[in-house]
Amino acid sequence: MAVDLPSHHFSRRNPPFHSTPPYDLAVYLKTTNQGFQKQPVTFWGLRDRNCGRIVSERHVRGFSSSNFDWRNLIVNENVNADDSMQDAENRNSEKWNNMRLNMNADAKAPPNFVQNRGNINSRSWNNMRQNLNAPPNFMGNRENINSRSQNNLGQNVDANADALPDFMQDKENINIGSKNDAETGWNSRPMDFVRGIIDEDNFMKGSPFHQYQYEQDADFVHIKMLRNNTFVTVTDSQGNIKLSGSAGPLKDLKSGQKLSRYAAEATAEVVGRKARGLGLKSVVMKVNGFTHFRRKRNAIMSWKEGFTAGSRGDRNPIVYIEDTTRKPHNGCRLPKKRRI
Amino acid sequence: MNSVARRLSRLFRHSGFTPEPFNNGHHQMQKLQQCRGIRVKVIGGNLEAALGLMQRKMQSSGIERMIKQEQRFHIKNSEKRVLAQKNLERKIRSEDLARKLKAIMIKKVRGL
Repeated sequence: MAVDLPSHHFSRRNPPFHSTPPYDLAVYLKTTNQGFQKQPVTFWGLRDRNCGRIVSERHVRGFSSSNFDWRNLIVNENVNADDSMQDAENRNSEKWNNMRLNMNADAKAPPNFVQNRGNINSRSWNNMRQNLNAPPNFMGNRENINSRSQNNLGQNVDANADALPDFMQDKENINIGSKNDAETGWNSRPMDFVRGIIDEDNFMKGSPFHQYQYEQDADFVHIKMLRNNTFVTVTDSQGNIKLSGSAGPLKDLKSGQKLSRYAAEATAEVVGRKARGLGLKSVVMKVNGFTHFRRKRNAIMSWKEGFTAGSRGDRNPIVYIEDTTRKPHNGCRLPKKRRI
Repeated sequence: MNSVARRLSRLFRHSGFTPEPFNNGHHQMQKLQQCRGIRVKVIGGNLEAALGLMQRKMQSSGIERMIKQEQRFHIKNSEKRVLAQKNLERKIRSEDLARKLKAIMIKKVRGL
């Protein structure tokens, strides 16, 4: 058949004067024929039908030269139309091939199924990029939109499918930032509150124990003030004597009544100086004497000065001051008045 | 009953004005009996403030007045009677003198 066609064309076109254009068209037809041969048998059969029609027309209209040329042109146009049809069929065949491959993949084992899904996603990404390069394809754009929605749903359910990728990323960043801020804010305040509580607990726990201990283990300093003499005694909380002193041993208070009024101060200071080495932490001053308060005040201050002398900045150990002066209610008979 | 009341009061309120025995667990009687005297707590080591407070307490309690009126020797009842009469006469004399001085001052002020 292929041999017959060029022979027919050659023989018919050689007698007429128009030899060059028909020759080119014949070459074109040869190439097209070869392409058709490669196609399946069904397409070859269709081609035979077309060839039959064309041949019949040529034989009928072969009488006049002008009519012959026009018919040739029409035949060429029909051939072009057939070419477009074949292209469409090719596209369909491609789709069928893709579908077949997908089905085969689905039929196979699970790992292949997973791989195939990954491939599908990769395809969608590739399509997106390609379509970006080639905007006019409407179908491709639709596919991209679907793929975007699927990807978005998989990654973030809260996100909108129609949003742009950059906008999506911005939203994600915003969410992450807000989470970080919330965590930092939530963490800092409770810690400050907790530290405050800890500090308060430490402060509260420290002072009462401290004070209670001192009160429990307080030592006593008894000052007994008589008219012309003074006794100072240091004892522990149970009454055991640690140290004692009086105005008698003092050398400078041996003459006259003018010096006896200072006996209390002097004695208290001496005993305080001695008591420095006993390691007293807290002291309760107990003053006993039927005298004016001025003298008692001086005695207490002298004891403190004697205790803290020599060491500047030392803490005052006195925690309580107590006056235990007592007078009986119509007690024993007083002594007889002295005759002068 | 008084001791019980003191214990209850001690439980509910621990005031610094009422002197109470220190926490000496070895003397049971000292716990039951209330201490006598005036006690002041030295707050923050400020001894002068504590002494000032103590002086005010002693004056208000009347111990200072007792100290001024101290009696060191025994006096017979007859002697007390005589001393009382002398004091009375001294008092009347001082009142008359005061009245005279007052009249003189008024007369001088009026210019009579």
